[in-house]
Amino acid sequence: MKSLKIIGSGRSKKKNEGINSRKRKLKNPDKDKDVYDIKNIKENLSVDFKDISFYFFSSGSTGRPKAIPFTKKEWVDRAKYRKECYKLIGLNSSSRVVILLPFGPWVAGPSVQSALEQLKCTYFPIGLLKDKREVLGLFSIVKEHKIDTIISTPSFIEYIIEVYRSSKNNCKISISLIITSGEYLSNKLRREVKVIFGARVVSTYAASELFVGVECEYTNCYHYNPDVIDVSLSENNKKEKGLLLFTNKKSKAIHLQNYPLGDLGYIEEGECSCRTRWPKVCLKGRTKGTFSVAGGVNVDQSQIIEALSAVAIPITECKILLETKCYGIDKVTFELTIGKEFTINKQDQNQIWEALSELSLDFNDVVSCGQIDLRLRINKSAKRNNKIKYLIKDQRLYER
Amino acid sequence: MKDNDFRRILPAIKRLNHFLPKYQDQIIDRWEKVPFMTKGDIDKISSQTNFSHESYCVYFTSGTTSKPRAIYHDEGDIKNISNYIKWFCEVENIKKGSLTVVLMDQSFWGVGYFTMLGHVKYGNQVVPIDTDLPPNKIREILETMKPNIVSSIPSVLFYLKDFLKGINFDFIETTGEYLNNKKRQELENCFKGEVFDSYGLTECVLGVECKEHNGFHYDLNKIKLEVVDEEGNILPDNKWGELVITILRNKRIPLIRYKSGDICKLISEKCICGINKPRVKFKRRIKKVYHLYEGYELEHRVIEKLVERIYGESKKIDINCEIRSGVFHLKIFIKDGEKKINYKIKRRLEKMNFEILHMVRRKRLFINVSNL
Repeated sequence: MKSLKIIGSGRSKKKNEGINSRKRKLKNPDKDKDVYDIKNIKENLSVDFKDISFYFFSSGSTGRPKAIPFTKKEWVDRAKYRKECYKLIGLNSSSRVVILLPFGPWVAGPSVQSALEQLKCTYFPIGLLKDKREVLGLFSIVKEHKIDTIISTPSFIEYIIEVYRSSKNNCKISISLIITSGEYLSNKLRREVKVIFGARVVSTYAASELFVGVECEYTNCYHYNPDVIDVSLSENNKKEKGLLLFTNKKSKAIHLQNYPLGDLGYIEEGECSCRTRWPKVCLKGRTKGTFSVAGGVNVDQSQIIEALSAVAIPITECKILLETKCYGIDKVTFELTIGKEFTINKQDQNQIWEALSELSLDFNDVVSCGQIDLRLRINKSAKRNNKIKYLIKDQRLYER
Repeated sequence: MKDNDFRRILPAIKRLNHFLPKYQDQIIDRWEKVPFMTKGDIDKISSQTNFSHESYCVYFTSGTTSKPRAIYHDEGDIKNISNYIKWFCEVENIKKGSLTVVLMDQSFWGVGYFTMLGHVKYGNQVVPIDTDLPPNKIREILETMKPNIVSSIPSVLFYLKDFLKGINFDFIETTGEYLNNKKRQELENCFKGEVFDSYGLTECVLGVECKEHNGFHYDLNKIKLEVVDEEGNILPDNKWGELVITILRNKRIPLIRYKSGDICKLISEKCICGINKPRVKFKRRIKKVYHLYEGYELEHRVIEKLVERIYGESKKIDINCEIRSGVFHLKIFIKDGEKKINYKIKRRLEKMNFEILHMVRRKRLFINVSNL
C-alpha cells in the first residue's frame, strides 16, 4: 500500500524495537513526527490559529502530552456524528444518561456531553468516581433521578459491578443500556452486565483524535458513517486483517488522513441485520508491543523503551505482568532484568519507578488516582542480550 | 401600578402557587408583596417538579447534608449563563482570541463548563483542566500552551502556586470564594497578572469586577437585586443588608426574591470604568461559616450539632481553620471531650459529604478534633 500516506501517531510500527534502535530514531525525530505533538501544534494546524476554540489532551508516545485542537464547527460536527451513532443504538430525547468518563483536559467526557446536548436528552456529567462510597452515592442518584443509561469505560463498569455486588438490597438500580468507550469490551463483561443489570451493553470505538463508530445489536463490529469517516487498511485487501487507517472527512483543525490508532482489523461492507447500510470495522487486536490498562489508557513499547533509556541503567529484559488487583483496578508489574555486575540502590529504583509511572500524561493520571497499582521488581542475570527483551503477560480477568 | 420587573416574574409566581402555600395565601399585586424564597423552598420545588418531559443538563452541589443536590439546567439556562459569562469577558476588557485555561472541576459541578462556554462564545480559545490532575502535569500543560488567562478558584490557585512558580498570566479570573485584599495581592504577586473576581452562588451567577475592582457589575436586564434588613424591609443604596436575588428569566425552577445569606450593599452610581451597570459589594456571610477548598463552606452550627449528637449533650467548642501551603487545617477543640469520641467526630466529619470526603482524600483538608 505504497500510495497511502501515513501521518500522525507516534506509535511505533516496528516490531521488537530495542533501546539502540530507539536511540537511532531519536536522532531523527522528524521521521516519527506526531501531528498532535504539543510542541509543534501551531505549525501543524490546517486552519488559522485564532479559529481554534478548544484544546483537549491525550497522551503522546513520547510521554509528552498531545494537544487535540478543535474549531467550533468541528466540535459541533463531532457531536452531531456521535449523536447519529447514539440514535442507531436506541438513545433518544427521553433517555436519562449519566456520563462516567474523564473530563477536561481529556476529550472523552466533554465529547459525549456535547453529543447528548445535541440529542436533547437529560444527562448528568459526573466524571470518574474514585471510591466505594462515591459509587454508592451514584446508585442513589441513578435511583432518584430515574437514570436509564450509563456511559463509561469497561474498567469502570467492572468497578461498579464489584460495588453493586457488595452493596445491600437498598442500592439496587435499574439500567437498560450501558455504552462503553475507550477500551476493548470483553464478552465476559458483556455477559456479566446482562446477568446483573439486565442491561444491553454497546461498545463504541473512539480515540481522542476521532470518533469512529458504534456496535449494533447484531454485531461486535463497529458501524461507521462513510460520509464522515473513511477506513482503509495498510494492506490493500479489505477482508484480511491489517493495520487500520482512519480518515476524518470532517476534520478541520488538523486534517486527519490515514491515521493509525494502533488497532488491527478488517472492514465489512453490505447491509447489516440492523438495517443500516453503514460499513463495519472489525477489530482483531492491537499492533504488537502495545497494551491497554484500566481507564482506557494505551501503552506502547516505545514509550517504555524511551522511559527506561532515560534512566541510564543497562536493562537486558523487561517483562510486563498485567493482573487484576480487583475489579476495575489493574496491577501492572514491571519486572526488569539487569546485568549481574551492576548494583542498584534505592535512589536508582525510585528513578526507574518515577520514569515508568510517568510514561504518559494519561498513564500518570490513572496511576495517581489509583486505577493502576504500579509495581517494580528488579532481577539480576548473568545472561547478556544484544537487544532488550520485551515481554507482555496478560493475566487479567477481563482482557483489554 | 405593576412595574416591568414584576410583570416579568408573574408567570413564575403563578407556577409557584402549585408548590408553596405562601404564594397561595396572599394577593400578590406588587413587587413588595412577593414572599421571600429560601433554600428549603428551592429544594421543595425541585423535588416536586417533573423533569422527565424536557431535556436538561444536571449538575450537583452538596449542601450541609450528605446528599448531593441536583441543579437542572435547560437549554435556555445554559445559553443564558454562558452569555452572561461572555459579558464578564467584556467587562474585564479581555482581548478576543486569548488563550484561557479553565482550572476548575470539569464535571459534577457546572461552573467549569459554563466558564468554558462563555469564553468560547466571546471568541477565546479554551483549555479545560480538572483540578484532580497532578500539579506537575498541570504545570507541563501550562508551560507549553502559555495561556494568557486563568479562570479558577482562589484556594486552587493557592494550592498550586508553588508548583506553578514562574508561570504568569495577564488575567486571573477567580470565583467561588470570598477574596480579600491580602489574598488578591498574593495571587497578583505570584502570577504577575490582574485579578478579576466574580460573584455568584450555587443557584446563579451574579456579577464581575471591572478594572476598578470596586464591586461586582451586574446586568439589570437579567437580574434584580435588593438589599433588605432583618425585618425584610428594602434598604436604599449603599446600605449593608442581606442580598435578595431575582432571576428575571422564566426558569423552570424560578429564583424569585431569594435570600442569599450574604451581607452586601448596592451601588447605583456610575463606575469610573465607564460601564453603565450597577454594582453589588460583598461583605460577609450572615451565618458563621468556615471556607474550605474549592469554595466549600462548612457551617459552624453543623459542627456544633454533630458534636452535640455524638456526645449526647451540648459541648463548648472552639474552631480554628487555617491554610498552610494551600492545605486547609480545620481544628476543632471540645471542652471536656473524650479522645475516643473526638476521633469518632473526626471520622464522621471526614465522611460527611462528597466534597469533604474528596478534599480529605486528595489531602487538601486535614481535620483534627482534640480537647480544649
